Amino acid sequence: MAWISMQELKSIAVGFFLAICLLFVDMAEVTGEPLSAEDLAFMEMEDVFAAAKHVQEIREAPASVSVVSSEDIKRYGYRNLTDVLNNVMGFYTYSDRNYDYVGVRGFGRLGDYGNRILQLVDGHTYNDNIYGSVFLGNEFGIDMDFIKRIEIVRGPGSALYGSNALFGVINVVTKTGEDVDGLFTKVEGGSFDSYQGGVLYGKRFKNGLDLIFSFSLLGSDGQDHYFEEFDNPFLSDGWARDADREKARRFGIKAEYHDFRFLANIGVREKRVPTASYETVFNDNRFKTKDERSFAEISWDHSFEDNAEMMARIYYDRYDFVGDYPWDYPPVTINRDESIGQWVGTELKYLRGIGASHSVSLGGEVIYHIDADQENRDVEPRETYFDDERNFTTWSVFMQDEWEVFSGLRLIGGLRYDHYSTFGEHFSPRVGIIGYLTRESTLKLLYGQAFRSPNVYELYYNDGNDTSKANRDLDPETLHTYELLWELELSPVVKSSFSAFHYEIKDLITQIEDPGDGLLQFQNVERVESDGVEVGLEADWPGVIKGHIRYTYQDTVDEKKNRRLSNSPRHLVKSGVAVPIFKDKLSLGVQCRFMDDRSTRSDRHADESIIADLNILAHDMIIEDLDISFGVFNLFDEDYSDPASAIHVQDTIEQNGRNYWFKASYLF
Amino acid sequence: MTLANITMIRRVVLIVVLIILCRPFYVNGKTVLALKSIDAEACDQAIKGFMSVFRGQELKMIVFDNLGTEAEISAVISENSPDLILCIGSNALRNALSIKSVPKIFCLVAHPESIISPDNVDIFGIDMDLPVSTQFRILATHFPKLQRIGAMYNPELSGEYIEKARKNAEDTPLELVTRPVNTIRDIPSALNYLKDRVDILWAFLDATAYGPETARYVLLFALRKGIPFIGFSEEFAKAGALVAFYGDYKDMGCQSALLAKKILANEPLPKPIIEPRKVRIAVNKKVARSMAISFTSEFLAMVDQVY
Repeated sequence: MAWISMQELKSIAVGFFLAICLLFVDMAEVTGEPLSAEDLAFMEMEDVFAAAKHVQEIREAPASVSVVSSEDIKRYGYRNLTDVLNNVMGFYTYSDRNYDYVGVRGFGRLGDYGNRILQLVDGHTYNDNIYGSVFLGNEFGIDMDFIKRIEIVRGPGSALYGSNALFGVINVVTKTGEDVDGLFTKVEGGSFDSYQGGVLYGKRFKNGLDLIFSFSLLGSDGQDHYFEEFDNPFLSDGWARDADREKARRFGIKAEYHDFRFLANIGVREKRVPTASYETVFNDNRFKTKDERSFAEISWDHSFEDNAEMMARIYYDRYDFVGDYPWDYPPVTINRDESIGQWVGTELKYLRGIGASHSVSLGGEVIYHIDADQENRDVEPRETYFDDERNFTTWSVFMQDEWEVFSGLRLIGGLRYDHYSTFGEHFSPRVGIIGYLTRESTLKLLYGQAFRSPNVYELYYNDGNDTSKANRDLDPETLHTYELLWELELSPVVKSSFSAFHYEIKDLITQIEDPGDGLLQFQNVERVESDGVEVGLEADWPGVIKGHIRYTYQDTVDEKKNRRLSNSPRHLVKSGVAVPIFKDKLSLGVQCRFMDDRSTRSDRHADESIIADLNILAHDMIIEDLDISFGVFNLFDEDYSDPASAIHVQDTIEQNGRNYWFKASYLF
Repeated sequence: MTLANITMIRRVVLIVVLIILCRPFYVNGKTVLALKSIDAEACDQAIKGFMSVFRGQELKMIVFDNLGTEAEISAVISENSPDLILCIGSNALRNALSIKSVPKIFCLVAHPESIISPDNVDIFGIDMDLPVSTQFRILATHFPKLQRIGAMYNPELSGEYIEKARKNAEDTPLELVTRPVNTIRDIPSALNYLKDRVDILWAFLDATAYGPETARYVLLFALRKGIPFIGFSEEFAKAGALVAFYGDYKDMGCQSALLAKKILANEPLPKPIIEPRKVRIAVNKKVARSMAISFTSEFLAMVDQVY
């Protein structure tokens, strides 16, 4: 089979043609209405010093970091974190039409709920304590308009953050009241009878109190899906009708007063599942899942005069999951999975400069998991197959030292110790050497070790030994990464990066069938190795152009089977450009991404795909403070599928064709 | 003649002399039409400053927000018969240029020389651009290590201003390194050129070089390269400029009121454009600390706002 088909070549040609056309948009028109000089004297400015410090921190970070700003979210019309990660170097997402999952650097375990990535909201861990899930789609409780920026760190982060930070950390930073300064309202709608509405109110008061709250609702009728695996007259000819509905609501509040901050959030989502996974009855729209994730925290963050900083926080978190599965015993009966996770924790971090060349960070965290309960039962007649109530404790300490050996060379060493009452302990070290070759060129040599603790689902879940059984002897997965990263500023507006990496995962936790009894069980059986390179070129010139081209090559091998890992594309190419097309009132954002073919669990292939998205944004065009955007996603109506996990009959699951999204927002 | 009569005559003479002496500064029953083209607190401050000079006198002030057409302005003038027009902002000044019957005063107008011509003999006012000589003198005195000053400018907008700055720099130990930018697309290469040639980046009222789209970027660039930035508003200092020089808008109102008094009293005025007499200073201590720059106590004594 040819590496690339004519159809895809055509699509690439169209994509590049479009990108080149955009580059030649008459830039004379982009500078906007001429401002009078005195208007400049009174123009407002945001805190650039904090932004510069942040950029500097990224340059000094012992990792490869991407930042997606709220402006990027607007200009490209991102609707959720899935849209964001699809365009970040090295990341790719896939969906089973219930949840969106994330893969990175060639590792995208089917059905793992993304639990090899750590997700944070303003530094607060968002992964739940049952499955360790990352929340990417509409189940994520933060509205996109509440987000100020998203910091994405590739590579192991366990030396600072502990479990789950195997392949990266996604930190969602929310806006402050000052950022919004008013009442922001929005209505959205699009294909599949989808709608969304929301409000965001933010203000910084004269007494120093900064307050923001956000509320939004969304709903979608979804699509009728055809699955050839169920194409027979007894199963509606393969059509799952009215089985894709979704609704969600989100609420968030943040209050900051001097060094204190209160942050609380809740996100609830219900989704019907059309795929008849878990051997459920096909075309029965009672198959649905409900996720409810909430947390509240109070933190104190203080900078001392003597070059020291301290942060302390206490928090309460909760996660509730309900899954209804129609099973034909017979008769058809609703079987329900119900999980409740509740935990409280406290964290303390202290950072201090020692002399001119050392900076030491110390910290610790204690979490008491009040509940990590799982239950499986039939709803009517009620019969319980599995009821596991559990609590456990984790605690950790970490230390990191940054040493400026001489001007232009920094060494970073870090070590974290984690203790879990469920499985034991783990050490996560990391070392980084950062050389500033010139003012514009930085070279980083990095080594890091990370781990993922087995979660309570993997340790204890069984459905009455009907199809699966528990394994209390699971060990954590461990990952070793070696990386060489070179970041180069080609001009004040063009930056490039080159990264070469190698990683090995040992004791990978995988669900396999025990040949002795035929039951599914999680076991530490697999070993994965990967080599890859990432090359990126970014241009960012405000008011003129923002663009990128990112390429990732990754060769990720299942060592046991000595073949490419399933759901692991070798090549990823992402390009995007955003330009003003009429003064500063109208802008166009176009993105195009190529994903190489991926093998499925049955050694077949999900074909390569080229997806282009387009978004037009009108800002202050009709009425001041009114923004209107219109996006077309999968512009060329590419027919593509994602590999499906073992819980599905399907080997691959078809994804959305061309679809549309409209949004209007107004700031009062 | 009795002593009482002599005393009375002396008093009358004294009053007459005082009246004659004060004549140029005494107006009463006059009407001033203020045209605003700036919607900012500074505008209110300027009006407040203007009125403070006329305190205790009968002065009718009619304020109009940016009037659009000449016809609208003419209608307002014929309705109110003002003795003087106060133009606040350059658009207000432009709109008032065609009115020949009423003398005009302006303030909060940047680069006024680009708006008024020698034919406009009845227009006087206060330049919003701060005196370069004052800014350079302060920099040279209190930051002696920062001698090479970099500036980007649009020759069309700020050519004359930068020439003035160049002459002023010659009177100080400072070296002014400039780079023209005709459009915002020229800014990256200009910054690239300046970054290794200057010790400090100096910004002034130039909409191309430091407009809303670019100001943040230029400041971010300067901070990342460790180049101290001199801004032209408090907002700049708040955002991350090391120092910002900006106008005292209330005092500019006072200055324009003094001109108005002379005009209303038919006193001659020496020149149409007058420099502002006060310069305010804001500093950002966090930026200074991060760049290992210390402020002298003499300098801090001059500072109006610290961030």
